[in-house]
Amino acid sequence: MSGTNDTNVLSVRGLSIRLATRDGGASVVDDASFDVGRGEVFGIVGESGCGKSVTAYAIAGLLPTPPLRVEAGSVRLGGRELLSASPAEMRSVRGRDIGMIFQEPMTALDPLYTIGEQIAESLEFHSSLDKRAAMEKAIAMLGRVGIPEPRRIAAEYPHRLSGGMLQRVVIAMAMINEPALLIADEPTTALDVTIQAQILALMNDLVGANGMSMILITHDLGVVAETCDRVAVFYGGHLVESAPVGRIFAEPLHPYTDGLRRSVESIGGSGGKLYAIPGSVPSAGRFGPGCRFHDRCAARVARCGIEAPPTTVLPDGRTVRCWLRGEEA
Amino acid sequence: MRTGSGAEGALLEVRGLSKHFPVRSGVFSRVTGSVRVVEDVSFSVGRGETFAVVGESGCGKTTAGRTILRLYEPTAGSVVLGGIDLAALRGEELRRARRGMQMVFQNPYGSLNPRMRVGELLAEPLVAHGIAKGAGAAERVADMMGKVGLSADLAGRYPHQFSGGQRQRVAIARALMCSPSLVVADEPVSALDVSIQSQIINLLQDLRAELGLTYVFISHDLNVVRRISDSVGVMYLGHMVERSATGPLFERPLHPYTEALLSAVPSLDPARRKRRIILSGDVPNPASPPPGCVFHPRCPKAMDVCRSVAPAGSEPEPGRFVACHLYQDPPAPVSAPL
Repeated sequence: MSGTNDTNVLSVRGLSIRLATRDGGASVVDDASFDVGRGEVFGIVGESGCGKSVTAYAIAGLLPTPPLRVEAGSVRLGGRELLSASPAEMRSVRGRDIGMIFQEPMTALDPLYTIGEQIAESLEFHSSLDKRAAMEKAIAMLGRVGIPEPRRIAAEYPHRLSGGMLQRVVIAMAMINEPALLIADEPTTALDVTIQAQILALMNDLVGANGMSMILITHDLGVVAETCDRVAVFYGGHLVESAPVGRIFAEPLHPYTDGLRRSVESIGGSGGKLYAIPGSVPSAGRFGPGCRFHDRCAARVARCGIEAPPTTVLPDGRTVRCWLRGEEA
Repeated sequence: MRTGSGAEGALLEVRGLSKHFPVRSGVFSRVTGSVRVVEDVSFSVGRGETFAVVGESGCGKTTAGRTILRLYEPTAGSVVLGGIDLAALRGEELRRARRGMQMVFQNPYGSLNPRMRVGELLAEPLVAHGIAKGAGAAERVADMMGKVGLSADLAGRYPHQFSGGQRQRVAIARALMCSPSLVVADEPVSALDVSIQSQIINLLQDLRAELGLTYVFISHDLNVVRRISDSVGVMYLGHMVERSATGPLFERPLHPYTEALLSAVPSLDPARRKRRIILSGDVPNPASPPPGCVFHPRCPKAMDVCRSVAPAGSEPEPGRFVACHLYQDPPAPVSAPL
């Protein structure tokens, strides 16, 4: 990872997020660092409660504070520090520089306004276009995301559209100001598999055509493998491994990544018992001082339960947070 | 393993099962139409086998599962379990038959009463069916908790004190308390994390072997289905469009919908991605299905006949059933080119 590279759109350093609780607070994300390059699709993958969505919310300045709070770190977008920006400054960053797509399209849409009005509103807020010009641009964008009869659909209310169509609308809304960075949090999880294939193909086309960067948050390794250039794996609030997508499944370095890969491959395989990672996913706040995966890890050594491993950056830029790999490097 | 295609040896025989829900409108809520959620579905499952029902949301797979168990009254068709026609049973007879068939739901948060301790949740079906109570029930509860991989010490805890995976183990244990022969599992691992899914699938497989269970496994996850089922029925908009033994279906799907569905699954293997078929459009509203074959508006191989005539089922290969004009025998009349 190269710290201040101007091909990087986003640079996250030492990000730590805590949850306020009655008994003193709990670590939700601990010391996460990664970069997203220009035109790159960067995947963040992990299971429920691993800190993947919270990390994205912190980048966009949408962390619900309290109870969640950024404790330390830096988030730089195009060289500008976002963590110290005021709420008003962040409002102008969101929508213009950062576009967001959520799992449930209806959470991003207001049922009382037409689809065209909602997309045009974002344009009017961030540019000097008048109402009429903004609406024309909104209709053109609906066409680009593959909505049939965009002029008619622009005049419809959200409840008239299917889930797949609504997600296209949300994509159009997120992209209307041509942001440098798109953050998509489980954008296809609520959709059927044939519709998911449509939406992923659309997002890949749009990002490729516009030189936009994207952070794609998902629990689905198949989606990561098909869509992303690089990927970070989160477990229990630790960024345990990051690497180019072609390498991470071919030769995972962290035992958790390896376990995930083996689970998925064994479900796709045949015969015999499925490979399963023993134990259960820890809930935030119940972490000991050691590596957060150590109690489920087959390769653990004594040190793993006592002391959290540091992040090791390998010569090829891959990172891994594991005592076993740290020793080698 | 038996193929489950013949009536002999089949534990469950579903024939021509339909479930229509009335559509009401107007001030007097008059019935103005019906939604055909499940339409003429037939399949059989051999004892000890797993039959998977796959499809996307709204295809009718969950309704089919519930209608088989008579949680919904079927509109038409018959369900024969171990030689007894369930659709004809009433009252006490139906109650007794229900012991033999149980359901596991997707969401263990919703299917377990949060105010009951796990021990009570597991003993309840025994008491309700008059099988055991008191110390006898407690002994069976401890035994079943062991079978599903939970320590019997946890019987005094409440559902919220368990993780998602453990809670699904409790739900499975509860379904098995009355020693059913048939378990309908509706998306039993879909709400679980990837690393926990494999544990629960292994448990279901072990229990099937140990207790001789027969499963109807309802799922949208084709990887899981390929792994655990002996045969598969693919549903689209209420119709079962293809039915086959699992191996042949995944190796060489016949129906264009099955083909597209299989190709849409994201894969870690780059070689599998090349053959992607991206269907255009959405699943139509089941209240106003398209005429002819219900899949024709999205079908890349649709012909003229598909737009007007619903395909009858055919059996192009032994044991493989498909409802598609491409496989009609004799071939459907195609208008001759002029």
